[in-house]
Amino acid sequence: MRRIDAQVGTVYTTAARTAVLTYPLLRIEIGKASVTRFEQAFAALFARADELPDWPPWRAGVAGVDGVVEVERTDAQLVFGNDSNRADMVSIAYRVCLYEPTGVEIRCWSPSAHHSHQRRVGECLDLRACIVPQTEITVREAIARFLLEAENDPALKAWEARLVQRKVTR
Amino acid sequence: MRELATALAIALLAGCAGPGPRMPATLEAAAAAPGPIPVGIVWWPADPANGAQALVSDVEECLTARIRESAPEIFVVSQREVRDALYPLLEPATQPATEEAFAAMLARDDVRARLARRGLRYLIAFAGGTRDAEPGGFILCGAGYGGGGCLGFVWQGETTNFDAALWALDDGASVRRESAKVEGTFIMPAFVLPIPIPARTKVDACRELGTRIAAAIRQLDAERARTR
Repeated sequence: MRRIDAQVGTVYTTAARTAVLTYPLLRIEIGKASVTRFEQAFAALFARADELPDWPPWRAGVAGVDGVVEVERTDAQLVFGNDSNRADMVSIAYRVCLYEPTGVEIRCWSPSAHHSHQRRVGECLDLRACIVPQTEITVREAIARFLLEAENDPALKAWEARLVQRKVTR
Repeated sequence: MRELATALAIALLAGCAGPGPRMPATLEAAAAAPGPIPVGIVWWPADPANGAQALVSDVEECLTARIRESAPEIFVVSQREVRDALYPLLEPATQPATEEAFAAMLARDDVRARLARRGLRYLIAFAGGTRDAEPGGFILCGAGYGGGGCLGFVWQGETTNFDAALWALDDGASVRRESAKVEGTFIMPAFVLPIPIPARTKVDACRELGTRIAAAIRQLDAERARTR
């Protein structure tokens, strides 16, 4: 991946951080898992990415960063199937936005992914053995899509060019 | 429940491939030791409809075990680690669609740097699966006050076909192709009780392919060592 020479602050809203997939006897903290991978993704995408404190709110103005990237939402859904003719389905969608430190929006993305898996008879007697890897690959794919989309996004390239120009004129 | 969340978080912690992530201990050991030949393995093209197999699969485990058995000097790096190293380029939804695109990806400087940082010399890309034929025969079962039982015979042919391409990572070229095809029949005679006898084509094909891959790597590495 091409790394953008920018220092960003990262923000995860409560809605994004606390999303869970639940089903009787099964609870997957998808928000927490997503934050972990987003942290790695932002570290790969930007020269520096540090999480901003919850207080004061960053929209009141934040200094020392070139931009703020916020994971606003994590929407996850799990639909259980059966072992004959209905597949288990996991779908995940995020809303991620990049802002100027002043709060002006540069670009928002809505990456998503979904996976379905038809269990065979006798497969995954412990359902977690099927659902957890399926959830993991769905999170990976959605965030992979975000990275590839962001990397080639004209708005992001324009922002990067503005940053370079600002640094040169300084 | 908490264990489940923790397990998922740990699984997801396995790494995003930005510049400079820490090399897993297993890879560090492989890269540092003079003897082993570190080889990555990956299911490609991964079937998006069966994406979870892109992180761990029974075929991968079987091939890895067989390669180690056949050539203990080969150190197989799991596909999870390979995909983490190349993240986000090799997820089922973002993977190269053609062999040309796969070769182009391996030829990219940043990709080669990521794989080189992990000490990998070769990459095994495997594909294939098992196809079942239409089942035949029948079994009748019945029960009464005095007991029950079945009588009959069913069978189903199955064919497992695996292909593997071996890529040399110093020049990003596909250097060897191996394949294995095994046909068999699942049978289930029933005389009072039905007794299933599996065909085991998947295991047999995997072991055959693993043996061939191990021999190919060993031969290739020796040839390359002579020309180095």
